[in-house]
Amino acid sequence: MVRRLFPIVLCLLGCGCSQLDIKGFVMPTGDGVQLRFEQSVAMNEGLKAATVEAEENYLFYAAADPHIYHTQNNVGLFNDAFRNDGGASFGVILGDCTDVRNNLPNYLRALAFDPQRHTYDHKIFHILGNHDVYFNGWVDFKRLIGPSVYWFEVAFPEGKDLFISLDTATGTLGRDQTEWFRSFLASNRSNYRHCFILTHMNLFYTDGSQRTSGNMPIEETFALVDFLGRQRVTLVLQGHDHHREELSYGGVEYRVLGAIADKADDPEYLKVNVSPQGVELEWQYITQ
Amino acid sequence: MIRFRHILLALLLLATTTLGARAQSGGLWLGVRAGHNVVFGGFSALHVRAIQRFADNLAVDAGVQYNTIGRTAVEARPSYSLEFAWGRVSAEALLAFANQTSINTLSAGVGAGLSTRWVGAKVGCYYRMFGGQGGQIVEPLNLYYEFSANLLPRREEWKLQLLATNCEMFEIERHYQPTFIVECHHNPNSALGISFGLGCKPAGMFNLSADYYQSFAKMEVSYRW
Repeated sequence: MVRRLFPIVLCLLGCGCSQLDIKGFVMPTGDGVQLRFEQSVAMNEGLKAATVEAEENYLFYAAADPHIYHTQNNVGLFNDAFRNDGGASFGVILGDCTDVRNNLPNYLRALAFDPQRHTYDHKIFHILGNHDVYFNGWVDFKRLIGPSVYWFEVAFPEGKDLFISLDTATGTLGRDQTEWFRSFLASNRSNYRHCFILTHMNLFYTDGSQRTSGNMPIEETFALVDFLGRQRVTLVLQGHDHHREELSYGGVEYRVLGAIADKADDPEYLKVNVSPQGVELEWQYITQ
Repeated sequence: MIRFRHILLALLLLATTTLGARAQSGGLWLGVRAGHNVVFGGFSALHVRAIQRFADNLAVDAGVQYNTIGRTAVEARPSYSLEFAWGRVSAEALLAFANQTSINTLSAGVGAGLSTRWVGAKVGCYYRMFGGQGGQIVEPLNLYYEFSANLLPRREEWKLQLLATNCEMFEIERHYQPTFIVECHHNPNSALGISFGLGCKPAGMFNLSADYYQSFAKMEVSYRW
């Protein structure tokens, strides 16, 4: 029995199937979070963080889990709505941009500005998800998109808001990213009106929708949630779960966006209206 | 925090009362663990456990742990077991409190186990509620498990085990977050025991994007009466 199973297990670990990187169950299939963070820091070095100019009240679009594989219909519809909305300032995609490696060019094409169809060339920020690192997909992500850990700000005449993208693609922030995040946010939070955290992996486990897909280890979750509360973070936007979740905890609003993937049952995205009072959320279903 | 202290005191009181009851046999375990975690850096933990048998079949395993990541945990597991020629079956209840930073958790569940000469399995389910910072969240029914393989035939003196578990005492994780441990037990005589283990807890396994998270060594000495 063992002699029969052994080669099968070896094959699964060695190759995986075409979509699921089975080897990733037991070991990193590319650079781990520590190396990805170091590379992100190196990519960010010498560059000024992006600044989006906006009014005091502004709007941004968010979507999660496009899982681009053969088709990209829903992302295309999202892109059309977003790039024809003059009120929008920018967009964020919360990870799992592709289902499996080699689809990143299709993903970027689906989100590109097309002057024939679109009015506004808004900027889009991308977050790294676990599917994006399958089969060492990080190599493509960093080449075609850039760092997985970065921050940007939205500047308006009276002040500015802070947005931080965290790399949770492999289930933990890791040592250096944790240290950087804690130190950066603690020393800069007071300079900003609102603070938004963008991450692929959802922090809480509140329903059975995830089945076996995981979050962070429990003690890391508690440490992070405690820190986010202490730093008065305004909103944490997450994906990964494919099911919408709306939570308030410790004065922080946590939202998990349902998947926008073509195979999703109820594909959706989110319009976030930001004002001095906080945020107002408009959930939008995609209808073909 | 005040509520957590009350719960902790109540549990310790319960444990003291329990230990003082008409017990048949029992033991005291003192354990330490030290390791490295990617988020918290180096950490260590100290725990005390008491196992008390009240009849041939009934036992309570209860204890308290302090971990330098800032977590204090108290846990009790009453169990009922039946011995057979081929092994043992057991049923247990799980009740655990923990406090880390501003967050308190309460976990409660039930499980069943099967243990033979070479392998063992324990599976159960639990609810976890956590709160603090003015919020409260209840996690849905969660699976806990422990699968073990004995590398030596089970004997009184020596035992070498491989374990995959998400329900180590004081370390109850969600179902997709296992810890892997290799553990060696030695009982030089009927009263004394010592065990040593090495463990590893990866992150992201069930996302198919595993990464290093934590490794540790642990040691436990026991005195049985």
